[in-house]
Amino acid sequence: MTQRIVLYVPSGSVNPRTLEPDARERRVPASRVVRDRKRCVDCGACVGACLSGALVADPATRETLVRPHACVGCGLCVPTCGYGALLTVVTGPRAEGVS
Amino acid sequence: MRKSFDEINEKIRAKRAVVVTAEEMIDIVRDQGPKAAARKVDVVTTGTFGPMCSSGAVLNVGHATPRMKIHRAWLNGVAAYGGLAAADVMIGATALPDDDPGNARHPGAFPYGGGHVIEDLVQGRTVKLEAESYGTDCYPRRKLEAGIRLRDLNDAQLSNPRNAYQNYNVAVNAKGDRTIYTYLGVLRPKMANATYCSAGQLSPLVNDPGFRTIGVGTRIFLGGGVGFVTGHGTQHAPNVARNERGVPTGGAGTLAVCGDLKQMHADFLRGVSVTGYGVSLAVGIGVPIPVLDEDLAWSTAVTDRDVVAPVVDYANDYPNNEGEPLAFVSYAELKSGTIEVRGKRVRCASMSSYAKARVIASELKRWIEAGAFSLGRPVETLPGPGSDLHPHLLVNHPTTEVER
Repeated sequence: MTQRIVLYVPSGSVNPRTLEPDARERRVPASRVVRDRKRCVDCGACVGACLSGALVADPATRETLVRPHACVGCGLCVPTCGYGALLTVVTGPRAEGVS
Repeated sequence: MRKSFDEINEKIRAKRAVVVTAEEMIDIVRDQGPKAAARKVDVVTTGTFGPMCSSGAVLNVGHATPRMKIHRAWLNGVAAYGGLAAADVMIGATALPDDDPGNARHPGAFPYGGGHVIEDLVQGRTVKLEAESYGTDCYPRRKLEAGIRLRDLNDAQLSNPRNAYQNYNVAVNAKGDRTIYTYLGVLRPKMANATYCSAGQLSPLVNDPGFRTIGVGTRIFLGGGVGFVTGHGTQHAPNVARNERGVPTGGAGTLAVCGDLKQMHADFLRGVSVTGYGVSLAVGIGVPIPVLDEDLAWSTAVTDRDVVAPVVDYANDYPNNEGEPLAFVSYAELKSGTIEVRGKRVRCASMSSYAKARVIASELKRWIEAGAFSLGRPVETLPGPGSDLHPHLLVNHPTTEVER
């Protein structure tokens, strides 16, 4: 069965073409947060909200690094992003469209 | 050894100026000392990028036919200010569409507002202008709907009455029992997290803490274009306590700046939606600091360890103007990702992008090295420590009805 992806967009206009590659994979966990690299400004506000180590600040460059496989999809980081760069991706039977 | 603005500008014109970022200056002064550094380095560039609510843009949209004296206006549905001249409109960064529900369903999402309108203009997008008026003999038109683009406007000035704060609070939720949503982000109860918003050692006013070289007329990097300091910003508080380096230990000096929006780039000017709070505009600013003498070499070598910020409770103390800081922490501690407040380890995150601040300082350095950006000598310096500026709380006087 083909899985469909639902994008819950918190704010701003997210361009699916600039989502990081992992977001476009066909097989993704039940729920995961992905980043629109073009909208991200690397402030790191999300890093403080991430409890699973999926979002970390590079100590050298101070850029925000995303470790997709560490994400548990809790979504705590999403409201901390003021730039609409983070969104929750949900897959599976309840996924029916884009909101 | 002392250098003058003119001498440094002459070197810039000849492309012989030695320009370094505030980060690079740290190593130079550490390795060679401030005296040698002052001889070697001509300009230190700084940078900061973060939400700066006290921002807006004044647009002259051009006269319609027939002419109209714009009285009320909206840009993409966001309320703009029409109380200026006939074809002038001002859009504030925190303005919201009339139909935004605010925090009616808490926390509000605030997906679009004035900051986003400014970003859309800079992106080159068409923005819908709606305007109303009462009609006059010389300006008979009463309604207007038009699509406008930045390139076609007669003038577009970014105007920021206050930004580039010299240090700022670290926010925690120590005294609340629920998650709170502030302009410094989402704060979980029991001090589960902390947030801050400053570039620390790269921040412009931290590198010239006594405002020796920054004043009215200082030429700056503003939103990717060239702007100017127009004076001290609102809430400028030069008399805040300072440490042994002269760096304030809390929010202190601020800058008022302006610049041509048409020169700017969306990489350095971004609309921000702050959950549960509202909208804002993230602005990139870089200020060049001329190394006129040894003292300035020393002050521009400030490190994150030298800058401390107060940790403030935003559940009770900040909203009610009560209490004292819970602790003071350095930006070195903040950037480590964890601070200690009253014996508790607290995870922290920044609202300000240090990565972008670095890009800005480097870009400004490149402009100066290329001879394309000279230093603006201030025609008046900003009120410094010891001046009689003391921002205070609202003073409420009895009012009387104005006869009309």
